[in-house]
Amino acid sequence: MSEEGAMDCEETSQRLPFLLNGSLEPAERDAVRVHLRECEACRGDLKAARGVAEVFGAHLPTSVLVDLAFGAEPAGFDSSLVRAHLDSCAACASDLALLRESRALEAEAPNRATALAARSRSWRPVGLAAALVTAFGAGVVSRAVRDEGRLGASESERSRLESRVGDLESEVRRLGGERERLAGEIDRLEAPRTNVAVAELLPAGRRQRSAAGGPRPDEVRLTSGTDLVVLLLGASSRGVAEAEIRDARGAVVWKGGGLVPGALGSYSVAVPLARFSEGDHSILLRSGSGAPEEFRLRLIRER
Amino acid sequence: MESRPPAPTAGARDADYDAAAAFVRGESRGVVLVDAWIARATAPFRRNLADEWDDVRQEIRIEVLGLLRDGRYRGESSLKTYVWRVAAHTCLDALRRRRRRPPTEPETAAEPLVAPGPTPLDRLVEAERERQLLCVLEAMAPECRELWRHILEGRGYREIAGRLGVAEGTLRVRAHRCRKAAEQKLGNAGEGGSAHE
Repeated sequence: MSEEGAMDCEETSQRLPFLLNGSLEPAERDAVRVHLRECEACRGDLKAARGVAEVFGAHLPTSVLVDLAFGAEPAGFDSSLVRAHLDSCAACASDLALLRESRALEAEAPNRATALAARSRSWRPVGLAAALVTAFGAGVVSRAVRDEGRLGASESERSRLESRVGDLESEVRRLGGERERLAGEIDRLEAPRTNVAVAELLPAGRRQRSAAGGPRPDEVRLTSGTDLVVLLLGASSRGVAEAEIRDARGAVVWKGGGLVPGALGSYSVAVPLARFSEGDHSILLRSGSGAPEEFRLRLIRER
Repeated sequence: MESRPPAPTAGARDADYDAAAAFVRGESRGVVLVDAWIARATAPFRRNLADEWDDVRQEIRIEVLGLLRDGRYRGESSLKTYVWRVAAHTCLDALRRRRRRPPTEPETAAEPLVAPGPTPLDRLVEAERERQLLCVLEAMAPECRELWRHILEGRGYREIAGRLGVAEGTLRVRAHRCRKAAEQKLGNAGEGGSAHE
């Protein structure tokens, strides 16, 4: 470009695609336009550039993609050309995927008005919230289908309601799935716990003897199925107590109150294993009747 | 390629014609049924069409009404499939209209940026033109296609040069060469030759 900003044909020609896509800076754009006003050859070049933009922006016609989605051979297009374009054009491949997704929904759609009405009558409540949603949706469809004579809504209102019914159906299905998941969770929480680890502990100051060759009483070996540890604390104190469990670093694992001794005189705490790390722990038991008592616990994971 | 479903039975076809007639007459059983099909067929396009979705569905209703009223449905497929195809076609056209960047440089001040609707002859010519363009496009080098993809997405030559790691001048020259190659192939294809010459 000359110092005055004027462009020659070569400079203009190179910038034509960027003039067409609107990306030239204002000064460059103006300089190109000035040249085009004065140069017929470059005006012809601009027209040719438009044609080239059409080439590089070409896509498979809508009719071809619809034919493909509906399992038909595209009319007037060589299948190898179609395949080659789909392999290289993300936009067309994405469009075809959308069309196929739409086509897949056709199989689920009712074929007849009677099928639509029957399906709306056969909806079952799935939960309280789902039942309310279902009843509303079923009522809308039933009214729309049965009360033909009394239906005063316009076509657009009917189609709006039908669309709303579709949304409600999806919500019912989602809530049904959620209900199933929550029911499973409740079953799991209410079910008896098995493979529970039990540790009968005496205060640290009182020596506990283990059977010859057996594990130490304050040692709990955890197998892979264990997820709960029951601590039976043989304290000498009585009355309502508080307990605090700390790990080897002194961090509090759990703290709670309201413990009362059982029939055999021990305080009991069931702690989910997720709260424990492997290794040594200390348990401090405090009740109003005496000095705090400390217990020791070692958790070992069996591998 | 998936196999085509069997042609509808005589009984099914009668039911389809009955439903079509009910829709054309504005009877609720026909309207609700066809509207339900349109809602389902257009559901995958809803996010992409965004605020246009309702308008597109109305466009489909009008199109289906016109086709059925003109007797264009002849029972080659079920009515449901027929409506589905119209919906698919209309949705994809709408999607492509949204994507297409309006030209920023009109050829003349008087030329509208959006052309009026095509005639049947226009459609034939357009179909042949589309085929020709695709043939030329498939004959272009991948580097040219990639470069021009950036251009058609509205990027400037400085930005594209940065992305491709080349100097700005080099980028402009490459785009120019690709353009000239495409013009030559387009000229060859237009003269009845092969785009691969």
